[in-house]
Amino acid sequence: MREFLIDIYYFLLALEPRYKIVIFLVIALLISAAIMISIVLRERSRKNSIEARERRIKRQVEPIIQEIVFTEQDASQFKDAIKKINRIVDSTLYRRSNMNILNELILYYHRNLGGEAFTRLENLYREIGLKQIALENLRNGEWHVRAKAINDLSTMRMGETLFEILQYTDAENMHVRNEAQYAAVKLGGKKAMSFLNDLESPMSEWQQIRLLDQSRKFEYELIDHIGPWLRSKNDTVVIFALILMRHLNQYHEREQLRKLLYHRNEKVQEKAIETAIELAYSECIENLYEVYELTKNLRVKTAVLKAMGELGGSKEAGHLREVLVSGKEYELVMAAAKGLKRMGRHDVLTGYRENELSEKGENIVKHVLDDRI
Amino acid sequence: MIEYDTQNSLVDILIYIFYFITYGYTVFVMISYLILGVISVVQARKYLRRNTYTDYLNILQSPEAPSVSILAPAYNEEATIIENIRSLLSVRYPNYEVIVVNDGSRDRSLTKLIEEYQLEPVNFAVNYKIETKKVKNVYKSKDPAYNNLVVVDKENGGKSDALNAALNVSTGDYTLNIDVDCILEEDCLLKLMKPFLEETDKNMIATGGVVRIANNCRIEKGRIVEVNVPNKLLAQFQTLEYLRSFLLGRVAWGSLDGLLLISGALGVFQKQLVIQCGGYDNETIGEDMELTVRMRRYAREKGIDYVVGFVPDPLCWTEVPESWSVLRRQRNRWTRGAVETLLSHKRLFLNPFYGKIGMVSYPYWLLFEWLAPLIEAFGIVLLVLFSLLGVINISFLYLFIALIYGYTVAFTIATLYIEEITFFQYKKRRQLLRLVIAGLIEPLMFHPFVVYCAVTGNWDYFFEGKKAWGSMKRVGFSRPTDRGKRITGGGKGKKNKPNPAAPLPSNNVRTRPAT
Repeated sequence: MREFLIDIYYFLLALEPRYKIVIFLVIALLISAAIMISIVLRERSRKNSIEARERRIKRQVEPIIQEIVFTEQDASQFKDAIKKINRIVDSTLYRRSNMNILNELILYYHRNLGGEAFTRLENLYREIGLKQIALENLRNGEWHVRAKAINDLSTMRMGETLFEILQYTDAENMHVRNEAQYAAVKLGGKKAMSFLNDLESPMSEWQQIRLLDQSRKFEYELIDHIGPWLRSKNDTVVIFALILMRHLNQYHEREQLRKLLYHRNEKVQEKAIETAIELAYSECIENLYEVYELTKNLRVKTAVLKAMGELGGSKEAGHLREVLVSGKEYELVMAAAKGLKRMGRHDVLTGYRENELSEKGENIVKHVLDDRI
Repeated sequence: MIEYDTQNSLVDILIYIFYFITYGYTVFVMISYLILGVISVVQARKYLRRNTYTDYLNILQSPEAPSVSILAPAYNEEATIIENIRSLLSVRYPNYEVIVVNDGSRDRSLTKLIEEYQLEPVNFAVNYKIETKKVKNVYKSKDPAYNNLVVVDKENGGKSDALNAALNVSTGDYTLNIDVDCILEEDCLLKLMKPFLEETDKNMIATGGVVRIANNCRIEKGRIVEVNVPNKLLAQFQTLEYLRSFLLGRVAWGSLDGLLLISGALGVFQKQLVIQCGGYDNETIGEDMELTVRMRRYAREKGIDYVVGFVPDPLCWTEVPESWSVLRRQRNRWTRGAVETLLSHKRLFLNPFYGKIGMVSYPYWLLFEWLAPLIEAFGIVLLVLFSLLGVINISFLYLFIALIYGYTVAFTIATLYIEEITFFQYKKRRQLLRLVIAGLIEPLMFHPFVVYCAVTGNWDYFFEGKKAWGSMKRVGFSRPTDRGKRITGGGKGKKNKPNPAAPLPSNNVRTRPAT
């Protein structure tokens, strides 16, 4: 065997460099493929052992958590329970991983329970040290660790961490920023939304939807800050403020709403018109005529026609009829016909003269009058 | 081994050029795959980290969720259409409609739909923004539970025409284009819409998602409940191919904003832009790639600062052919589609005006998707010729082939490793080993076959004039399949036997896993 290997060694030594390189690469690739297979298999074993550990911890910890959550306990019983949990998760090698398992378990219970159980779980979260771990992660972790930590703290309603979280509401990393904004609204309510006053980074639609979801829990309380947000230089803040106005019935800044109908950003214009409809702001109807004439954007024009249908009277019915008869853009004709229907002006929709409407217009009228669509 | 001993002769120079092209090109391909692989791993991990705390419930309950129209063209789907539409109607999203286009089916597809969903014709004013074959009727259900279902019955015009008709009827701001016989994950739409909603700096014009192979998977009520590796070796090869392509290739191209193809089986598009571009091209066979390229080109020419996204999650499951003849036709068609698109957009080639797609993506597709099999086939022919003439160094050649084989196997294993640490769909050890074995055989069996198909595809395109389906010719984008507990792909089964009259069965017209 030794001689054979020596022969191979001398054979390789005698080869041209290009041969040596290729042989080396082939061997390296095959070895790395074999190593990767073994890594994959080891990864499977690792996953299996984690799952087994997770099952074991859950099996042991769940009854204790359930006892804490569902039964009245005095301080000493609570301390004993925490000691028990600590003993279960304690491990030289796996403490961090075990704490993660415990964290997810408590978060799971918190999402699915309410009332007194909420408060007990929150106490457990604090006392067991998970809050502290989340705060350390927030201060020292990578972006995804920080974002997850903020998410955990807000899910567990750790209100005392609000001021620390607020520091991240305009953070450079989008994910950290988004989580911090969401947590701020969740933990601090409408007062904590003051971060919007001077927010420079854009808010994504996804983030607006999340924040709206939280804000809807304020029900119809007055939001004082909405004025500055509507005047913000950050268009996404303006759009979000309009969304809030619409969904939380914030009537007090209607004059600013009127100004936003002429905003340079067409998305803002569109949202402003939708908000005017929702707030039944019929005083802006004259402005809507102007907007209709000034804009070239089809979506804005369509929104105006919709608003006229919702907010207008007989004068607007006349305007909608004009658009219907003109038969220019499908979207406009459709919006005008729908507007007339919304006004209950079936007489206008059906009372046109012969050949007054184009074929397209007639089809659209039939479409709009068909209640099955 | 015979050494050619004439110095500086023309043959010598030609051989050097040949060496340079063959070896240089191969090494270049290997390095590019490696780079794409590394980028993909980084991006997939980033995606997973970001999604550990994502709660889709917010959007699911939101009245502000943008509207989406799911466009599902159907042709002769009577065997599966009811179940598939039910699966589409149960997608988790708050604001969507399902538009099924019956593209002149000759079977009972429409009748079945009418009966099952209590459909009746309505006075729908179709907005013909894109010219299509005549729409005969638009149906809505009498049952309010199916309020978001619209069925369009039109004259036969092919898949592109059906999609265009659906676009004309749709009311959503975005369209999800799918093949009606694909199986979607329940939260597919939520995940595909997220990039649109998250983007703040640029205009997101389209997103694609990962398509996985459903052969041998267990399906209940239109949902995948157990993921399995296909039984047939051919489908296993394609499983590896799809993994490499979607998990490594497209994720990387997505992060580089260089995607030229959003699969026809699964893609969300900004509707307004699709219409402005003129919709799907009826004259092309690779309508999905053509539209993606055209949209990107249009956006660039109009000065729109745009981006195309890609979601690495497995969101859609599809069947792949299990017979070599069906596969041959599929790959032939894909090649012709790619060639057609690349030629019709040749203006992009190395054109700095088009940015990354002009300078990187297009040349990459040209060199490594279109020309790669041709160069490979040409190289093999020359190698055989030269070795017969005794003018090349055979031992080095063998070693080089071993290197390519080793690289391919290592790359496949790396893909399996990445799958393991990211989405982890194949949970049984036996499944993994089957894929490893398939990976060892694949370079010797499957790859040469794919090269052969690509060469014949080029031949058919350039010399046989097979450039499109033609506007009237039936595309046949559907195949009746008995979707029982397990999916078994086309091949031997009578019910899956491809119809010779229709050039390709359903799953051949949809999901290309090109890098």
